[in-house]
Amino acid sequence: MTRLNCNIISRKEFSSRYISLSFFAPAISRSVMPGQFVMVKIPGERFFLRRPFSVCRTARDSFDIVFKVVGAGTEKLGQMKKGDILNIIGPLGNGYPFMTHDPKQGIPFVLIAGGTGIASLYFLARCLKPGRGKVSSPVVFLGARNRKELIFRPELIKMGYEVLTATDDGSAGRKGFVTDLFSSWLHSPKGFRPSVIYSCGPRLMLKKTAKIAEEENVPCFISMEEKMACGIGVCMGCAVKTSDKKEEYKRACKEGPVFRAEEIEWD
Amino acid sequence: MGLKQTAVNLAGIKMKNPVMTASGTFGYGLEYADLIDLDKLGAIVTKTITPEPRCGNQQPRIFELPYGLINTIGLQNVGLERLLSEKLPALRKITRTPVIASIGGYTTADYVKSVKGLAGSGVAGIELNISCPNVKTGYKLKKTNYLTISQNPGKTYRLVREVKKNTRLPLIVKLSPNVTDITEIAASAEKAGADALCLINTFPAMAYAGSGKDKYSVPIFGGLSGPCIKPLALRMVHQVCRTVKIPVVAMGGIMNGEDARDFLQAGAVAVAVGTGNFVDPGIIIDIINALQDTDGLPPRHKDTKKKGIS
Repeated sequence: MTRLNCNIISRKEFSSRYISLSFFAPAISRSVMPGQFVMVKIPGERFFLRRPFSVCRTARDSFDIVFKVVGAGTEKLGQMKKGDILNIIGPLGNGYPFMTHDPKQGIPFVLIAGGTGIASLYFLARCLKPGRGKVSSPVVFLGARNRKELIFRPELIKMGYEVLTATDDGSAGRKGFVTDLFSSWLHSPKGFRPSVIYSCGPRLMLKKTAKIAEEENVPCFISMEEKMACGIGVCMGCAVKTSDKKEEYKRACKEGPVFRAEEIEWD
Repeated sequence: MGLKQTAVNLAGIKMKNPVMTASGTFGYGLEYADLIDLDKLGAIVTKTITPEPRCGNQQPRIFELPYGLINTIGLQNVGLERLLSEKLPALRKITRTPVIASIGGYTTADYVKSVKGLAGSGVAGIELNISCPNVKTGYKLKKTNYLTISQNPGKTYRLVREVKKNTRLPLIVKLSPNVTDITEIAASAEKAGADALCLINTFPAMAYAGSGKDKYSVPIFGGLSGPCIKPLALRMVHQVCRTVKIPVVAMGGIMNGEDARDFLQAGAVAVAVGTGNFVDPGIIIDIINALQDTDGLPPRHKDTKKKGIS
């Protein structure tokens, strides 16, 4: 974990609300693992606390984040240009454990992403490499509000993943929740019981994913998002309720953000 | 120009500079070791612990404001035993900076148990947190409203006196700002044998934490901290420093060297950085450097003859 001033080396707009920034930061890019995040100080006195963002891609000396403009903070971040410098702490938290398919059985994994949840899963997808399972390619279930917000789809297909999509308005793929898409796929002729499920997205989506994983008895890792003040395990703001009797509230920033799905108390 | 002398003695705790951490914003000291040089700090105050571990309050726990933060963590902590067996030994391995253990509790017995446990643990002092606004550890006023010990001079006096009987370590009492007259509470703590005071804890506050059309569905009640409370804190520090003879540790929205200087000028012997640690872990080092680089520590104006403008 380091704290450094990072130069923005590129900026990309997926749509008017989805923006990705590339930062020059070898100290972070060479050590960060999929599922880990960084805390970004957004310039301006209005934005008091740092904001957590998952890393979505790395190159040798740089890393990328992708975010949706939802409030004043992300709006300001979205206005940053190449050459601007932001103070960043990272990498933080525990990422996804690497469990790919069993080579003998050749049963692939699946990724289930909702909205900006694709950020950390895209990074994971790049690291896991799809390979060629005997049964099928690994599948990415990609959910978003609408067609424009389905990001990284072409990149994932190019890498060899099968990508199935769901949108709230039906403008691309199936209309409805991505978890419903996953559920009906599981019971379709093409479906299979995956070796492991990785998931990131809105809380309700994660809850449904965890339930399906439990029913199918598939190991499932989910990345939880909570508001946090510090990102380094001090403020205790990002508590996640777990079934651990000894330590009921775990910190999304330190013990997480990736948890085993069965650990979480959804209530 | 060389570095200015900044060492201070806080009720027997020798600090190389007057800048320490505020409890609850620096974990158990270990979390920041990768980011800053702990040896540079005047003192480290650890997260308030209770005799038994506490899991804390449910979500939402924090709410960000443009100039501050509302939190309701609820004293989530590892408990006395793990502080003694795990956290303090680990911290001692990585730094020689004096460590002050912050303690909280429901009853006088809780506080006494903690100070007894801390004897011989190597801590340089004890912070008596009797002012956390987010746990129902104080006493009931009417049916629903809980007050903290530090909102009542008599209860403050009795608790401090009892705890003081059971420890030889310097005792620093942390005061709540949510009182009619803070000097009254400060005087009670001093009379009961407190070696120092620290002020202020957070202000009780509220915000609506929901979003969109559910905005008003989730009220969050918690303690307000950050730069927005600095002027309120400064006034209280000024008042208390003119009431008591024991040293005062000041805190409340300190974000830079100038803020720290203001509190020292008002009469504080030391200052503590709290919410600023969340915003930027480097702030505390910047503040220490600022105090060393310029004119050293400001003269403390304790005399009451100088009239302010009101």
